[in-house]
Amino acid sequence: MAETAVDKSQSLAEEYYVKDKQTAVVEKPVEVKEVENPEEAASEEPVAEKTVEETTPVAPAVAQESSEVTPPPAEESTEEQSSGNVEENSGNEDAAEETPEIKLETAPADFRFPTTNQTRHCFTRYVEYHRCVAAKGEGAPECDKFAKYYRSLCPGEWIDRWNEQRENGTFPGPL
Amino acid sequence: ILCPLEAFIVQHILTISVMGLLSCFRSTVLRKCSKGSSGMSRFLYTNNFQRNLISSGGNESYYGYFNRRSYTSLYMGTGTVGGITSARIRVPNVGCEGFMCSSHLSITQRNSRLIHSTSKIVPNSEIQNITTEMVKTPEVSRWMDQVIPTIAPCDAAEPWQLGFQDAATPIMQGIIDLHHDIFFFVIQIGVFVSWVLLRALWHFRSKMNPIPQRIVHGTTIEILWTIFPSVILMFIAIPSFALLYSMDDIVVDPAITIKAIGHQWYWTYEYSDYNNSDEQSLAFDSYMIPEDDLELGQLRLLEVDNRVVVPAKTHLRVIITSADVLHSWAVPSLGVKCDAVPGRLNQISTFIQREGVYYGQCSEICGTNHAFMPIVIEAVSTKDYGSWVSSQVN
Repeated sequence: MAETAVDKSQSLAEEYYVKDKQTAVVEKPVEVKEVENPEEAASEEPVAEKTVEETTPVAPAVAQESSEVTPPPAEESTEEQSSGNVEENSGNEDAAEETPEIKLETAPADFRFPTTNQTRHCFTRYVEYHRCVAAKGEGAPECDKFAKYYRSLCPGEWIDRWNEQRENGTFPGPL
Repeated sequence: ILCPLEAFIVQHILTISVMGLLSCFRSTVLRKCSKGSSGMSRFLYTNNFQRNLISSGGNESYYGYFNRRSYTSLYMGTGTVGGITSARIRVPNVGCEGFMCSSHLSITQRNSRLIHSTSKIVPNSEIQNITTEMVKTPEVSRWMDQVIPTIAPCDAAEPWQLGFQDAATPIMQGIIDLHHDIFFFVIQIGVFVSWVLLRALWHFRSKMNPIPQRIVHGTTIEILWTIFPSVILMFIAIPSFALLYSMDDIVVDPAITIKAIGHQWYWTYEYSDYNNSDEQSLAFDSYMIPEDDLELGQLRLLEVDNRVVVPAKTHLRVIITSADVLHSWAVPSLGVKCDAVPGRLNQISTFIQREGVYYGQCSEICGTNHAFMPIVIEAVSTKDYGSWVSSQVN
């Protein structure tokens, strides 16, 4: 009983650490938006006024959030570096597109798998993608469709495990 | 002259006070107005929940684990105004939390316009042309729509509710109608069989018939009680099979795929339609909020820290699996119940017809805390869903 309790506590601690990363991920969009505000100020004057009004209340919110989270300084520095990179990329994308499109589309229903069980559907989409890559090379535009399909259908853990098996050469599918 | 922030705060306080008034008057006004509806579970009233610790065999350290977790809210990081209001004003969520979340989503939408990151959603035009009669607006809601522009009803079971929850999908509506049809036959058959049984007990009692008859046979009655039950079963089977085959998934291509992965004792949800690589992933865990952390108006054993956000009036595909033991993903308002089996992907299709917050629970015994892994689905408009995805993916 004691051993099982110890194992459970360890696994729960590991889950706890994983969630900290998720909280870090949640913090990123706030920083991105904060950086985007001065760009808008540079672009238009009336927007500048609105941003000025918004920036004044933003500061106490940021202060409160920082006080609530209280991460260690080392992690702070690493997060700032990574967030800086993300900000630069997002800025470029916003400058290029200005209106990112989110299309509501996913893998279509396949008549080969009409039942509730979709395990083979996920596996088949994964195999189809890698066959397409083997036939037409990496980065082929025709294969992106299959990549989207298997990512929509397969859980992330399964994809990671299959990727490891492919690298080790022990993948059981007909690639 | 009020600045926009103060005006927003005043509106917020007014709406919350109106919700508070409504929750006070609910037991008197709504019960008179809505006598016909027995499953009135749209507007939650505040109740005195019993303060009991969630005990796992008396193991306090395990419960301490739940306390140690920090419950990150999806809506804290999105929108500066939302962050400010939640930080400064600690107004309790009178009514239901769905209302608060929908207002936060509208804040997100407003802020996304200012930052010039509005997302162009390309919805399916065929879905928009579907006209539905299921959007039920109770009488009080029509009056409230003038005061509160956005309201999201909470679909959870009322205390001691015995019947169905309000339907939000055509499948659940079909299930409720089928239940009513079959119940009509069940009551008729029950009354008739009881009558025959009591009549036989009365007329063939030992006083009147001291010597029982050995051989009894009638060809006509044999034919009758063979043909009539067959006809009745046919009347029951035809709508039942019609509903069963209408649940088939293959007819319509879905617009969104959600993966629900069961763990001991929480659910993990993945939205992978917006990934560009295997490493990138919109995934989050959904834990129950413990009883000590509940705010006023939140439901005991049903609230989670991260909700599943889906667009209403859109075909969804939910792929359900498990990482450790058997679970079951069940949401009564959507008419959905599907087992989560490790190593197997089970698929269900659903079409939510009205915006709201729908509650469910794990429905397969999965260990000590089987009762503490709820499911909360928030159906929003397609625009709000796009804003939510934009805030999550970036």
